[in-house]
Amino acid sequence: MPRECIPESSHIMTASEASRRVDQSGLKVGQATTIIALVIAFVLASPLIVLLVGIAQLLGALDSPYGPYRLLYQNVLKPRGIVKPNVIPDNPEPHRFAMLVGAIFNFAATAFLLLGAPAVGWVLVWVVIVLANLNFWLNFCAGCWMYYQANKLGIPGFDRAPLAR
Amino acid sequence: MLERLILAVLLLAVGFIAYRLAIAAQKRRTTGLIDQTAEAAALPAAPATIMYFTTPTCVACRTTQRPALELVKQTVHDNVRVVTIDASEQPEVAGKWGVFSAPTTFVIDHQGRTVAVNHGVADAQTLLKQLRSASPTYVFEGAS
Repeated sequence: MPRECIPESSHIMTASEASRRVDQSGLKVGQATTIIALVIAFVLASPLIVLLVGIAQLLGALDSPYGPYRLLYQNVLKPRGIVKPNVIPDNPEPHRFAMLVGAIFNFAATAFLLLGAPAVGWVLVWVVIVLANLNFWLNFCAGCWMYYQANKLGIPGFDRAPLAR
Repeated sequence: MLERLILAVLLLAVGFIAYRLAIAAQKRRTTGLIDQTAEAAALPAAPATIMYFTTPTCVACRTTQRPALELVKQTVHDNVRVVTIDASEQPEVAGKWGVFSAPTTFVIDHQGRTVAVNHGVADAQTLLKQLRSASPTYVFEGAS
C-alpha cells in the first residue's frame, strides 16, 4: 500500500465542501521561503532566523492575516504577477497542520540551539528543509498525510476527510 | 561561515543527487512492468504509453492532471495510450511501480522501457516532450 496514499472516502462532496479552496501558489511561496530562510539560518548559524521561520509557520497555521508568508504572497508576489494564483478545491486544515508541525520542529530546534545542543537543533532544521523540499518539488505534504491518517483513525480535532469525487 | 555554506551546498547537492538516483532506479525497476499490467493489455498497442496513477480523493488529479492527459490524447491521438490505475483500489500495483503520491505518471516507450517519471502534476507540454523522447520516430504535434 503506498505509504502516502490518501485514504479513500466514499463521502459525496457537499455544496460546502465544493466551495473549499486552497491557493496552491500561496503554499508554494511558503515552502520556498521556508527552505531559503532555513538554509540561510544554517549558513549563518542563526537560531534567530530559525525562530522567525517557526513564528511565520505558526501564524500560517493559525490562518493569521498577518502571517509573513501570506503578506509576501498577497502583497508582493501576486500583485506583481511574479506568482500566479492556482486555486483548487482542497481542505486548508491539513496544510495548516503541516505548517504547525514545521513550526513545532523549528521551535524545538531553536531551543536545542540555544541550550547548547546544536547538532540536534540543526538536524531538526534540516528535517524541515527536506520535508519542505518534498512538498515543493514533489507535491508530497507529510503533514497533510499525517492529518488524514489521524482523520481516518477518528482522532478528535482532525475532522476533515479528503474531498471525495 | 564558509564551511557551513559549503556544507549546506553539499547537503542540498546530496539530496538532489539522491533524488535523481531514486528516479533512475525507479525507471529501471518499472521497465517491463507494463507488460504485466492487465489494464494495459486491454488497450490497443501504441508507440507510447502513459501509466497514470490517481486516487478518488486526489483533487489535483481531477482538476489538472486529467485535463492535461486529455489534451495529450487529443494532440497525439492513437500514438499514445493512457492506462489509468486507481492506487487506492490497486495498492499492490501502485506498490510495484513505487507510487507514493497521486498523481504520478510514467511515460513508457513501445519496448516497455520507462523513459520518464513524474511525481506530481505533469502538464501537457511536459508529457508531450517526454513522449517525443519515448518514440522519436513519431511526430507528436505540439511537442517542441
